[in-house]
Amino acid sequence: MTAPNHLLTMLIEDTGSDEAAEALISAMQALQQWPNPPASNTEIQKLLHQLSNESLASTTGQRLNSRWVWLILQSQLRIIRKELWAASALVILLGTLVTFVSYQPNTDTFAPLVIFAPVMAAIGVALLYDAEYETQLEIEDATPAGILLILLARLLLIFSFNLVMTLGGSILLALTRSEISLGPLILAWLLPMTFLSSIAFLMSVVLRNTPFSIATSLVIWSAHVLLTQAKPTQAIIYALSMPGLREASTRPFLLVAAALALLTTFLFLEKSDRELA
Amino acid sequence: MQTDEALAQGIQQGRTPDLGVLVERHYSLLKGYLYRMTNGNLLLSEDMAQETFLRALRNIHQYQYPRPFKAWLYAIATNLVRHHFEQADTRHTITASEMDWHNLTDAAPLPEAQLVISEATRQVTHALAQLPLHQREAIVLRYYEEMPLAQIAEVLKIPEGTVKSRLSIGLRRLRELMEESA
Repeated sequence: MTAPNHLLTMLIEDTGSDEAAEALISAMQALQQWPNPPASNTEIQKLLHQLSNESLASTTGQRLNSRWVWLILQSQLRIIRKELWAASALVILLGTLVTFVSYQPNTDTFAPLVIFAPVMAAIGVALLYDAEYETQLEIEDATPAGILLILLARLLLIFSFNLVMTLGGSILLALTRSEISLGPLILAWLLPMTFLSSIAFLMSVVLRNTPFSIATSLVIWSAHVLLTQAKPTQAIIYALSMPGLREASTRPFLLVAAALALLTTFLFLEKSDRELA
Repeated sequence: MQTDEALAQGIQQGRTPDLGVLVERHYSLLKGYLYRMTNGNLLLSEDMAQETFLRALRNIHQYQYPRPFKAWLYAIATNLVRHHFEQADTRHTITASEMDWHNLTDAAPLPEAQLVISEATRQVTHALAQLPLHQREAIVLRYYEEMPLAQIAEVLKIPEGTVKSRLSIGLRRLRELMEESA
């Protein structure tokens, strides 16, 4: 218990008046005499036991974390439509094959692989957030993972699949056609693929309209390919051909735009998730 | 002897046995604080003291060494009390000032909990129970836990000036309530 003099000093400090402090000192002394409740040994042992269990669970949880991510990826692998994998693989294989057969060096035309791969990836990504929104919510309700994590897992799976397939095709082409350089070929499709996919994903999530986001990706990419091939002289047509999708100087901007689109999509999803909750 | 802060840092690094030392050091006093904050509810204060330590362990990564561990622990306990009273207010079942006053004065929940208190203590605890929670927190931490103002500010996450004003207003109100009851 605090000594009366010290208690008085504290009270004077806190009340700002000697008179108020004097009036309260007996009350504060009485308050300090309020006995402490007993803390039994059993109670402390019970707490230590709980803490030990909690600590064990948290260590096990950390070990499970990486396994859990793997389990989510596995579960989404089964949920993504099989036709989507097959269509992507087929289009990229065809693109590789046609490029192999028809590629002409020293021309300014797009290699068929470069035409097909970005748009195929964008279609795949747009279909991740399908109109079957209710079904997704059901899945979300039934699993400990939120919709954000589910979509991130799907995006990772589909985009990686397209990336690996196109990369494989490019390596094959570089190995079999000596006039094709691997580096420039990869750069020709990689950034447009990333950009178009992120835009398609953003639109399908925000507008909840998969066909519209697929159509938008198709229009952007077709306009770029066709108008570039036409070698426009008019400024307006040149601008419509979106040369930035191909030029080396605009690559960093494309990457930043893709990252921003992705970030916006996830922020939107998180907000919707919170509102739903 | 290792400081609380060093022990907490040890727990962050995986030395979980250090928890036992912190429990031995703080459990009893923390339970006393919660007992006062819940107006003498023994069972509730025991539950909350246990929950405080469990939460401290779950969130140990949030503890910032070398800030005072005791203030961090009491902040968790204070949040639990606030949450409890907020829920009670929402349910409109029992008010903070009414809560457990009867437990304290009439029927203690367990035989070992029957704590004999003097009439003067009874009066002041009754008056204390009628204060708003934020004033009660400041008074209990200052006059029972004997914490310095800076530490109280850390527990309540408010500036020191606000602690002073809460103490000043709270003590004035306490005096009025005691005069009214007299």
